[in-house]
Amino acid sequence: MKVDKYALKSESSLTTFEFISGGPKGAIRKYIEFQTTNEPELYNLAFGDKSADTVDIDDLAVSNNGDTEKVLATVVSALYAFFDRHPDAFVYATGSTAARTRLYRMGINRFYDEIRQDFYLFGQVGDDFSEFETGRDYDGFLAQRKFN
Amino acid sequence: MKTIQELKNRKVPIVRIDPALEQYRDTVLFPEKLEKANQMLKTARLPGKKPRSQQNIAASGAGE
Repeated sequence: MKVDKYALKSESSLTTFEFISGGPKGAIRKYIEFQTTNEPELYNLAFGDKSADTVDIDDLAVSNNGDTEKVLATVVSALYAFFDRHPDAFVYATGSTAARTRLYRMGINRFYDEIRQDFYLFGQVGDDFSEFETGRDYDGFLAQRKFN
Repeated sequence: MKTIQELKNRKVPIVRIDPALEQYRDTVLFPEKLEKANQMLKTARLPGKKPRSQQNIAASGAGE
């Protein structure tokens, strides 16, 4: 993916990542977390900001820092790093809001040709998952690493 | 020696391990999102996972 990305830091298990988004609104600390779910080997991708003033992390924050594409590319980059350490995982992602899920879908559409080379990608509608198709609306997404 | 461009283009990024982040290792930073995912998983009909062995066969062209 030939888009600029932010430098990632992580703890040693590569499940929680941190990076600093830089833009007109200044530096915003962002976290990406691959959460263990009740389903074995299925992780939930969560993502949000940490305010400089509090310890709270807000997954509803809309930073508007003018770097959406770079942020999404950084999240995909973290996905590669996570799968490198956890190759047999499934990763599920959905937005905190419908608008955020649409943003994720647009990001996937944008990079789909590259994503499909390395991942099996499924789209969720209700309780069902099917192979991802560009241009369709989904409630969530599920990815598995390909081993080529 | 890798050039800066090669390093920028690599898919698996270089991730710096920061000991300060170990504090988050056993912490759920986004509990509401985890709860939402677990609720979804109770009824979801997940797709079958592609086994690695099958993928290797497909990659070698044997399945085509």
